[in-house]
Parts: sequence; C-alpha cells; structure tokens
Amino acid sequence: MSTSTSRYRRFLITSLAAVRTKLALGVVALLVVSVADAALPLLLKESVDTITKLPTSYSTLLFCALTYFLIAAIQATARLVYRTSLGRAQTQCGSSLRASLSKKIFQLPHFTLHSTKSGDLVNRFESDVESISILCDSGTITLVDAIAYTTLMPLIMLWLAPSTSPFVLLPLLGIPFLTRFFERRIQSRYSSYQKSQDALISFSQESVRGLRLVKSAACEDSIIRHYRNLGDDSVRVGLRLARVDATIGPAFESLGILAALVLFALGGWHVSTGLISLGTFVALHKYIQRLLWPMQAIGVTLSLYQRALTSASRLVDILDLPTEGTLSSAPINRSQVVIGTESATPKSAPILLRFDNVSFSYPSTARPILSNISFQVERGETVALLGDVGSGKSTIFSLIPRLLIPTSGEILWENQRLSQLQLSLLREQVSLLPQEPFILSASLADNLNFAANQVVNEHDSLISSLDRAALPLLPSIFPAGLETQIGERGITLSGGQRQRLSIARAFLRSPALLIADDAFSALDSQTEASVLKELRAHAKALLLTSQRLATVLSADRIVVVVAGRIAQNGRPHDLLKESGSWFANFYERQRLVEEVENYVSL
Amino acid sequence: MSASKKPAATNAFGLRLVHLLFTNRRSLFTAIALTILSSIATAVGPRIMGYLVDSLQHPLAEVELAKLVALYATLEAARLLFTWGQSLCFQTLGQTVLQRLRLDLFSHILALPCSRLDTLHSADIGTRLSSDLAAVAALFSAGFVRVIERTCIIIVMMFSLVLLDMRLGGACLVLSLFFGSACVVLGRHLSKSYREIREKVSAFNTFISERVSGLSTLHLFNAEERELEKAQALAANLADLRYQPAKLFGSLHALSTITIAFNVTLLLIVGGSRVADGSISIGVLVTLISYVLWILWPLTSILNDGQIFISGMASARRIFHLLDEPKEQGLLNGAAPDKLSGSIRFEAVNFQYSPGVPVLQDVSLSIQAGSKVALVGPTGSGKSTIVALLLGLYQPNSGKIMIDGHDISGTSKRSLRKLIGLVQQDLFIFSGTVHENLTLWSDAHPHPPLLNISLDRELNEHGSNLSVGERQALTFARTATRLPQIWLIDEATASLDPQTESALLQELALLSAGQTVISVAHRLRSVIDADQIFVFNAGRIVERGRHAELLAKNGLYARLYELQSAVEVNHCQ
Repeated sequence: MSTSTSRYRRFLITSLAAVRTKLALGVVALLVVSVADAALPLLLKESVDTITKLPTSYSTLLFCALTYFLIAAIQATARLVYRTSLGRAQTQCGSSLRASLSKKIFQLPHFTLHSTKSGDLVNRFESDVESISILCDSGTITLVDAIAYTTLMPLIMLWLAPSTSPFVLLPLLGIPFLTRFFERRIQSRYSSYQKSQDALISFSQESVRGLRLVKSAACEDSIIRHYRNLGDDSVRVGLRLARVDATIGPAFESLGILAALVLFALGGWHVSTGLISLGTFVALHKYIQRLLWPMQAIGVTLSLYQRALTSASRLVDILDLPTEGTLSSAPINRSQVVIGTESATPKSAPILLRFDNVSFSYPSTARPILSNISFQVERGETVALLGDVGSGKSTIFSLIPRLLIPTSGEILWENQRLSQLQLSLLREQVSLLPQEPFILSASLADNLNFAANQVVNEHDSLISSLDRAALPLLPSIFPAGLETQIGERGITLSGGQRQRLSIARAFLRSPALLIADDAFSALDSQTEASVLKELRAHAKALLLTSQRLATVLSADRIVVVVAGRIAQNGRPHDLLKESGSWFANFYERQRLVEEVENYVSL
Repeated sequence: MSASKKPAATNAFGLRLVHLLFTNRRSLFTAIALTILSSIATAVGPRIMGYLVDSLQHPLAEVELAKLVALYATLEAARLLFTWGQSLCFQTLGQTVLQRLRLDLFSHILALPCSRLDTLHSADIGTRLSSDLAAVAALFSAGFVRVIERTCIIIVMMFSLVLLDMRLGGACLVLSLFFGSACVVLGRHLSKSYREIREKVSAFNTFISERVSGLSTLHLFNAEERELEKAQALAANLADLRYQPAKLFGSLHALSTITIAFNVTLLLIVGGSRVADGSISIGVLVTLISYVLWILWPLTSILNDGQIFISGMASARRIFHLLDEPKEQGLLNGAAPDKLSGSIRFEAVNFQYSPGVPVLQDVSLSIQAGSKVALVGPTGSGKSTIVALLLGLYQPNSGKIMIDGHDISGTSKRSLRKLIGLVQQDLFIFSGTVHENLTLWSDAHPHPPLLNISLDRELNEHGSNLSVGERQALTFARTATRLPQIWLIDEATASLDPQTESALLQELALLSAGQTVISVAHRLRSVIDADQIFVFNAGRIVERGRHAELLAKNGLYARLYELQSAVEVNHCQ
C-alpha cells in the first residue's frame, strides 16, 4: 500500500518537475507579492502616525504614500508574473499528461479497455488531469500563501506590538483545526449527496433507455412519481449538505471577528494607555483581515494534494497497463526482427499462412474459445471459414494480425513464426475487414487516409479505391465529394455504404492476405460478387466468411468451425457430399433463405 | 451546437432561468432581503472601527470602550447570522428550482413522440438529465447567488463611500468605475475563450473516445503514431487556449492592485492633509481606506465565476431546446374508454418512418373481438409496425385504425395503452426488485411470475443475472400485472425450453380467454391454431387465412414454413 502511494507521489513529482522553471518563477513572484502584502500595512501605520502627530510632516506623508504606490506597483507586476507563469505551467503539465495518456491508450491491446466505457474513460482522465495540473496553479498559490503569510505577518505583528499581538493571534490559531473539522463533516454529507444524485441519474438513464416500454405500458405517471421521490430524497440530502456549507464561511469569520474584538478591547486599551500607537492599531487590524485566507489555505492545500494523489493513482493504473507489443509470449526485439516483405522466401513459399494446433482462451476464463485449430491458406487461394455465431471464427481472424495471442500452438506466416515478426510489418501484410467497420466522424478523405500508411494526396487513387469498392463518388451521396463529412456531424452512411468504405480502404493498402469477416453482409449479391472479384485481384490470398452461397461455393476451400474446433475442411463440392454434416445443413438452409429472398424481391 | 454564437437567444434562456427562480418567491425574496442586510452590516463594520479610531485619539473610559466592543460584536454576530440565513435560503431555492426543472424535463422526455425519439440519441437525452442538469444546478447554487450577493455589496459600498465623504469617496468611486469598465471588456474576452475551450475540450474528448472505440482498427492500420501526432496537436492547441484565461486574470489582478494603490495613495495624500487641517477625522480616513481595499473584490470574483455561467448557460440552452420540442399529440386528450371488447380494423393504412421508405402500404385487415390472430412474414416486412401503430406510438400517414369501431386518433393514447398489453421480445430491466420491475412503481398488484421467481429478488441493470426463461417469465408477468384487455405478443425469437414455453402458453390462454390476442410470430409452429394468419411482405398483406389454407396456396407462407422446419431440424441435431 505504502509503496504504491510513494509511486503515485513520485508520479506527481515527475509531472511537476517537467515545468519546474515556470513553477520556480511563479513561487518567487508569489513571495514578492506576500512580502509586499506584509509591508503595506506598515506604511499605513506610518501614515496614520504621521497624520495624527502634530505638527503633521507632509513630506513624510508624501514619502509614505508614494512608497505605498511603488510597492503596490511591484506587487501588481509580480501578480501578473505569477499568474502567467503558473498558468503556463498548469496548461503545459496538463497537455503533456494528456499526450502521454493518449499515447498509452493507443498502444493498449484493444480488449484491455472493453470493460470501461470509452466515454467514462475520457471524462475520467479529463478530470484527473485537471486535478493534477491544478497543483501548478491553485496548489502552488495556496501553499506559498499559507506558508509565507502565516510566518511573515505574525512575526511583524509581534515585532510591532509584542504585548498585544499574542492575544490577538490566539483565536486565529483555531482556523486550521476548523478546516479539518469541516472537511470531515462535508465529506460524509457530500458523498451521501453524490449517492442520491447517482441514484437519480441512473434511474433517469434507465428510463430513457426503456422509454418505449414506459410509453407502451402507459406507466409514465408511476415512473415520474418514483423519479420525484428520488429527487425529493436528493433535495433533502442536498439541504443537509447546504446546512454545513452555509456554516463554514461564518465559522471562519467568527474567529477573525474574535481576533478583531480582542484587538479592539485590548489594543484599544493599549492605545489609550500609550503602549502602542494608533497607526499600529490600524495596521494590526489590516493584518488580521489579511491572515484569514492564508490560514484557511493550509487546509485547502492539503485537500488539493489529496485529490491530486487519488487522480495520480488512477492515471498510473492506466499508464502501468502492458502495451500490445509486450504481450506476446516471446518478447520482441524490434531491431532484430525478420522482415518478410523483401526477403527471398515469399515467392518460393506457396503457403502464406498456417495454423498449427492453435488454442485460445481469454485470460479471465478457463473456457477454451479455440482448441487445436490447424489449417492453411496458400497463395492465390480463397478460403471460406464457416461456422455458427460464437463458434470462434472471429477469434481466428483476430489471431492473424495478432490482435489476440494464441494460448498454445503456433501460427506461421510464410514459414516464420508470427510472434517473431514485427507487428507493424505483419499488419501491413494483413487487412481485416470487419462486419461492422469503424468509421471516423471526419471527411471521406480522412476516413480513407486513416487506412493508408501515408496520407494519399492524389485524389485519383482515393477515387479509384472507392470505385473498386463499388462506392462511386456520386454527388447525390457525397455532396462535397471527398471532403464530405460523415459520421456524427455529417451524413449517416447505410450499413452497405459503411462496408464498402471499409473495402475501399483495403484498396489503399497492399495486403498479401485479405480477411473478410462477414464484411459483405449488407451488400446485395451482385455488388458482393463484383467487389469479391476486385479483392481477389488485389490481394494474394483471401480468407473470408459469408452467408451467401455463391460466395461460399466459389471458394477454393472451406473450413468449418464448430464450437472452437475444426469440423470440416475441404473443397466445397466434396463437403456437400457429406450428408448431415454442418456444411450440408448450412447449404440446405441457406438455399431456402435465398429462395424466400428471391420470392420476396419479385 | 450551431447555436453557440447567438447572444440574443442566450439572453432569452437566461430570462427563462430567472423566471424559474421566481417560482419559489418566498425563498428568493427572503434570500435577497438577508443579502441586503448582510451587505449593509458589512459596510457598517469599518465605520465602527473608524469611530473607535477617532475615540482612541483621546483617553478613553473603559466603559466607553466596552460599549463599542459590544456594539461591534453584536453587529458582526448579526452579519454572520444574515450571511448564514442567506446562504441557506439560496441553497433551498436552488434545490427546489432544480427539482422542478428536473421533473419538467423528465416528464417532457417521457411525453415526446416516438417519431422524435427515433432521431434522438438516448445518450444525448441522458446528457440532458445528468451533466446538463448538474451545470444548471451549479448556476443556481453558485452562479446566480454570487451575482446577487456581489451586486448588493457593490451597491452598498458605493453608497457608503459617497455618504462618508462626498469628494474623497466620489473620487475613489470614479477610479473604481474605470476598473469596472475594464472588467466588462475582460469579461467579454473571458467568455469568448471559455466558450472556445469548451468546444476544443469536447473535440479532444471525442477524438480520443472515438479512437478508443475503434482501437483494433487503429492497430490494424498501424495508425498509432499518426493518430498520436494528431492527439498531441489537439492537446497542445487546447493548452494554448487554456492559457488565455490565465493571462487575462493576470492582467485583471495587476490592474486591480494598481487601482487600489491609486485610491490608497490618493486618500493618504489628499485625505491625510484634510485630516491634518481638521476637515475630516482620522477615523473617516481609516474607514475610507478599508472600503477601497475591499470594493474591487466583488467585481473580480464575479469574473472568477465566469466558467460556471458559460457552461451553465450552454446546458440551460440545451435543456430548454428539448423542453420546447412538441409533445406527443393526443396523449391525454380524447375519449378515454375503460373497457374494450377488442375488435380491430385497419382501413387502407399507409405508413412510413422516414419519407420515401414506405413500411406499410394499403394495409386493410379486420380482427373480430376475442379472436386469436397471427402476423407473419420475413424480417422488415412490416408486421411489428402494426403493433406500434395499434398502440398509437406512431400515426399512420393515411388510412384509419379502429378499435371497437372508434378511430383511435380520437382516443387518448395513454388510456388506450393502459388497456392493451404488449409482451415484448426483449425485457427491459430496471435495476431494482422483481416487484418494482413488475409494477413499474405503480400500486398494481404484481402478477406472480412463473419459475418461482421471488418478488424480492434484486435485479441488475440489463438483467444480467437472469436466465432466458426467467426473462420471458418476467416479460409475461409484467404485462399480466397490468390486466390488459387486448394482448399484443411480439414473440420471442430466443428459444425457450419446451416446459417453460408450454407453461407460458397455458397461462396466456387462461388470462386472455375471450380477449383479442395478436401475435407477431417468428416461429410458425406457434400459429398453426390461429383463427387467422396475415402474411406480410414488403409492407403489404400478401396472403391471409388459416394455416391449412395458406399451406395449400404454396406461396410465401408455405416457403417460410418449409424454411423453418428445415432450421428446426438442424437445431434438433
């Protein structure tokens, strides 16, 4: 526990150390401000004493006034300096934290974050980054204020009026204790308020998701009544919190008032007996007022630091997650990796990809997803991988570009172990077309370029990739051509258009193996056939799954997966002959489905 | 989102918010009265100090001193009491107003027509109910309160300055007003840069969360480096934007320090010589200095809260936009039958969800009261739409739908839906007990579910701790709890074990005896006994009749039946 706390503390320190020059400048400026603040009441004292002493020395008064202005001018400059340098430190610290987090997240294995909703993740690191980087600004200011004011001012007060000040300062000593006292009470009430808010929000979110049910069951009244009850609860708890909240300010002020009362009674008496001057009396009053905030700042600094530490723990937990490259069983040395593209072997090796007794299960569960899978894909071949939903097809596809790592067995790419290939080079060779393509909310060109290794500026190649994917750049669909915005802020593409866009991306790459994971499901049979023809010409080999008989039967070989094991493997027409087999049943069922489809479309 | 640069509209929304505050007048006026009182007390404190300073110039009797101390103590105690009461009143006001807005918004969302809900993201509505409401709450509990508070203090301080000494106080006031106008200018810049920051923050967050959701694609395209560069550029740009307010506040603080210094220097030189020549007392000078050290603080603190205003107003705008959406028509008004015999007629009904894509075309059908009817057809043929139209969730584009001989467009949708029981395919589960999920928090008596599911059992959100059979049993029990008079069954595609299925069917037969039952059937085995079967294809009824008649036609129904038999044979193997 303590070791991890020190780890989080170290993380905070390194984050802040990156902006140390700006922090140092800010601290110096803050010290100038507080020294000036401590000096100004002294000038007031001198002025009051000068004015009240007859005959009045105008030159002294003028000197005091102008010095006051001069010091204030220095203070103003110092304020400008600390605001800007600390502000800069804060934004820089925030931006470098954001950058390192983004870097980490982009390198995480894609399944690591499945359990967290991406929106939550982003919001969390937004607020966590804020509560760390605020240490540069408010954190530093409150810390320096707390230390500088609470040491400087009492010292000056004691020097000015050694017999009066100790009694005046006494009530102020209660402030840090009061801070702790309230912090604890606020915390418990705040967390119960937060809980009531969470209940309210989660019920409303559920109701929104179940809106159709609520409407068709005509139970709006009772749902609203329940929401109102939750809301009333929240109001009640909120007011309980408000009662403490409203007390805090007056409680602190009452200590300041107590100090002022001591000053008035004791200091007033000392003035009238001539022990201290009237100017000292006025200056002491100003010091009391100035001390109220820094005394509270002690508590504020502590809670800012606590919050930053909690945030640091959350960020460190993300930053410590293993990245993709480090996950493979054999550690990769990026420099000594064998590169497949230009070596002499490829052309001579007819087998592009081979699965050798591959098994896979997710680390969290013992249940095997794949058991002893062996098959191969040769150059120039089209292999259809078939199976029911959940049979393990998609897992097999994910193993090839190493989105997942086999639990046992070996996958060979051009006779080399997959685990020894450089990840980025492997992925250049393999293109995976998913059933649900990932579309960015950006322009069409950006969406295509997302797949390309370099930004393709030639419009011709972008347009030809779209043409080959049977998604011509029609003005009726893409009014602004390649610059048409798609996704959330632009036009919504249909399922078929999304799939064709994803296919167009494949044409901007030059993969050796193209994997289509039900990637044509939203296309009609003619489009599917024409796209398939283009893809065959583009890649050296094709591994696909599809429901459509024409596509399946045109494959050179069919591999059937049932419950994570290979059930059939062979040429389509041979497999058909195995009556009662999975493929024979699939064929029969699909024939009827297509017959109904044809009947319907008549 | 496009309306972000319309100050006129923002003002209108601001007025609506202020109007909301007036719904709890008692708290509002008490709070304002207490604020005025505490501001006055704030201004009186330095005057007592000034009076004390004057008195201290001459030897002071102890009784006199004690009196002044007691007076000061009383005044300050009163001030603290006012401040405390004011803060409490404002919080009460904020909470009650928030509760009202929350309920308005929630009930409005529940009253939106389905056609509108289709185009709204449920996540968007969720944001209105969570973070937008929270931002408006901050506006109520912090934003407005502080503006009222600070404005009161500024006004009282201005009066006190001038009342104390017309010339000196007036001069200080003029200097302070210069600063005030600088604040207005700075405030404009601030709100502009806060607005920009908001936009850029959400752009950055969208960028990251989009890439997180497509992380595997990002990896497959080897796009980590390229996308990271973009993310870094966005983060750096955001940092530059965030630096702007820091710069503005830096100059604001410097300016306020200088303005105060001007005032104090002026008071020391001019005021000092006036004290010396006896035209004012030293106490007045000390009081004036106290005032000028104070007077700028309320202005700067209002600017400090700028962010609360910017995000609060943006959220308020989004909430009001949603509140301005028209409600579902005929939800509550119209005939409100409390009994249905259950005869149903569709007369030449045409319907489309979006223009140009007809879903139902010229559908006419007639169902006798008390009969059992099945709707079948391929996916997307329009059979489920019949259910939605019958519930009045959507209005037909043309044609008439009659229940018991009355056009349902003249019937209150709410009372109609109360009499119709829909058994849906997927059960929507609220996190809560089975009891709550069956009654949906109404006073109804829950129908005991099959499979001995205890009414006290706690269910997770999404019902992840339920089996398929249990879900089905709960769906059915939830509808049965409402004692419907017409049953609409959107049959489950998930396969139930035969025992549960037959138990459910038996219970349905028992409860719906003599009532009309319309099933949207995916499994044709269950429609063999139906009194009438309507076969849908591409939005039209292409065949109708009993099972045997339809099989004899050797059309779409016969093909669908053949296909399903084949599938079921496969499944059995």
